[in-house]
Amino acid sequence: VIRLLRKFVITKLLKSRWGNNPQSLARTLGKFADVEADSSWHYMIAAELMDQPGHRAAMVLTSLEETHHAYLFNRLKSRGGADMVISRKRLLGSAADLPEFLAYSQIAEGQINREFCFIAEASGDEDVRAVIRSISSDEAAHENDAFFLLRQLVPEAQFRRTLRRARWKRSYDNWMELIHSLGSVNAALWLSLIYLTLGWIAAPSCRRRLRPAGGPRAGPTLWRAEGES
Amino acid sequence: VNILGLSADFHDSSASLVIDGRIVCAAAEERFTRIKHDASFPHYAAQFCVEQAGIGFGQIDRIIFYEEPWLKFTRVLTEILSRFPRSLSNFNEAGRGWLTQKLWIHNRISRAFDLHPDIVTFVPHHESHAAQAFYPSGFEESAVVTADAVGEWACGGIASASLTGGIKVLETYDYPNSIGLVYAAFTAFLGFKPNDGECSTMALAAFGEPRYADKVRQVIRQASDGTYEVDASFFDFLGGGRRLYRPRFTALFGEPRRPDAALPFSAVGPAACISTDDKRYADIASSVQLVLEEVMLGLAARARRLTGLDCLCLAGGVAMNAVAVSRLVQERLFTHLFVPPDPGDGGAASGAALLASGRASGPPVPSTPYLGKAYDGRRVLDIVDQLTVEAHHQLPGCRPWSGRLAHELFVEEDALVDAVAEELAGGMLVGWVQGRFEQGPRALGNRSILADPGNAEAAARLSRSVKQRAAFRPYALSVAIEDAPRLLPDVDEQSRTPRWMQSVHRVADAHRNTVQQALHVDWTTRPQVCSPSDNPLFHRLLHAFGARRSLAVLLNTSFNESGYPIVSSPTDALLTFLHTDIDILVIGFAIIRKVR
Repeated sequence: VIRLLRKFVITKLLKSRWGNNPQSLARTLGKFADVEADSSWHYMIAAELMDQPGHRAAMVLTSLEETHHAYLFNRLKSRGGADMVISRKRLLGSAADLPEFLAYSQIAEGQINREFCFIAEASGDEDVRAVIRSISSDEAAHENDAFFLLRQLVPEAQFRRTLRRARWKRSYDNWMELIHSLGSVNAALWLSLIYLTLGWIAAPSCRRRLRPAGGPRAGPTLWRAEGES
Repeated sequence: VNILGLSADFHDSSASLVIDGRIVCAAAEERFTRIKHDASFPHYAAQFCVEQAGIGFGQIDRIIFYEEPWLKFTRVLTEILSRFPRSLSNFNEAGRGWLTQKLWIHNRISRAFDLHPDIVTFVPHHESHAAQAFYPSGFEESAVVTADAVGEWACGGIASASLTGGIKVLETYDYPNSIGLVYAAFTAFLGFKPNDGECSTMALAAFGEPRYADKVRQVIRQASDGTYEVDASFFDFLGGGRRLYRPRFTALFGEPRRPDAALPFSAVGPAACISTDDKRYADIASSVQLVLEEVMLGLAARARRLTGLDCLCLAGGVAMNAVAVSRLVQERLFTHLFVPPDPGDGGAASGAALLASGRASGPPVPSTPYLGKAYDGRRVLDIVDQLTVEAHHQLPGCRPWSGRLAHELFVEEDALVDAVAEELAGGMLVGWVQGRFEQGPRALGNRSILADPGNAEAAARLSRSVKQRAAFRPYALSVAIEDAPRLLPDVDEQSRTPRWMQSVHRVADAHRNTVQQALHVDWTTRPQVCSPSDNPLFHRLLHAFGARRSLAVLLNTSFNESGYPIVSSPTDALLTFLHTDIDILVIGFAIIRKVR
């Protein structure tokens, strides 16, 4: 149901918004570029942690493809180079985390891939559609690769458990993203209230403080290491 | 005494570890996260520092943060509230960032490393800058000029420093009197990204004439005593992004340049059709560059008068303006000038730690830029035979190749540098990864892309299919110290600024053709004069190439793609190598080739 709702929101509501406001589409494409660059970074870290050269090579190639996807999204967005604003939330710190990472990737790649398909459908721009379709086929391959690599790395019983945990973690992360957005709205309301009730009191003194003083201020400080006279 | 310096939360977060007055390691967080100018808490950089030193976080004696967050918050709040009631969105935005994260840096640091909060202290932003320039300079005493966008309240200052007396701030220039912010606003006006594209403004300046200098002087007014003042009514420094100026500014300078519009100028070739607007943008860049140089000269002259000292140290983001640094060198106001390899906020982490250790443990030892992490390249070599890259996963314009890689391992340095020099002479683009990565934004022969500076085709390929770089931006040049006097006649032996690409210099007429692809339109270059003591392997490579040409020189640019930080690990380098048109990747003693 959530998937269908999401599809409806993207294909119907966002479509009209993007049609009226190209900046909005550009922002979405920029966000995708960030997501792909983030994914590329994670695969690179995974490659550095893996033991088997074959697995490492597979991770490097996946990372390369994700780097290229980030480039394609950025190019569509008509801006030079990546311009990442997200901060990294590292999913793996050691080789022991690799199964969880692969399971999470498998779930996330599938979800992102479906989203890309909705976006391709919603976008009226043929260039955007073509690029997203080509990226989408890579993402489907990444989803499969992660699945089969996970199968090789962990025994059957652990395999299902790991996937289940990853699915829960992904749902939790999505939920937290929503909560964070709601929290931001709540914070904005409180901050606005504080600003509007107290701001006018502080404003005159703040203006006075910023009035040009006409040149430099004498430096009063002499930095001393702690414990010195 | 183990002191960890940290900078975070604004741009170029970094960590630096100083042990007994010596910088043992320093790295920007961006090198580990692949986010350019990453502002997030420097977890990975700090982790690297303690691992490199072979200690645990429990053995850190003090942690010094590079500025005072509460003081900075008062400035941000003052600026926002002074605009009441038109600054609601700024208040909301700043409120969320400050109240949830930035104000609590003390606790965040102590929690992140599981250390007692008492060992965490703050030092003023511009004193961190002053220390990062002075302590590694090797001077007994020196005048220090700092200039950047803004710290807490101070945007720049003059200090006197000595090994025995510490750093004494003589005067500061408080917000909004910021030449860094003014330059950033012009950068935004010219269509480049502020706090990142200032080098583009500097490069564009060479194509124009300073016809707008008088107008820029209305914006920054400098008195005859060297002090200056910014007329803030032209700017909206709260605006963020690209909205740093007000209608009054555009009334004076005309319409701003669209960020996606191409500029027709070329550093090495003939310019395309130049429109009136293109000329205007170049002239404005030239004018703001000239005024920036005048302000820096005025400050330097004032510092000389106030301190009476012969040596000058320069730091803060403005010190990355290599043309302004050159002007200071040329004017010879001081006998010696020192600019650290990373004069911006990234290097301020080192400054903060040095400030604390400077007098606690005796004079710090002069530093080197090779303070980053070194990696074992073997883990990359055993996968190169198993990679098959599809052409459609590369940047457009890359030369076709089979998608397979081959590698060759060398035992001796001589054989390695000979083989690489031969490839460079044949027009190949070489990715060069050796040892510890450099501190700061300049590649100095450990994470570099190298090419023959006389080969126009190689340079064009580098711009098109590797760096995706606008033609008006020149490349830098590395030259062996023995050939520097022939190539750069205005560099005297005393001058230390060309050592790490901190200044630009004119190239001798006789050698312009040999290094043309690393020259700007005014026949200058930003050189790295490399000595065997600085970087022995790179120095040998320069000479190996010199044996095939008349000079030991190489075009040297940072090893990264547009929008990404310089590569750190061999895997990172391999990814950039595969995604771009770099022909050969050298990691340690191994050469990896694309099989054509």
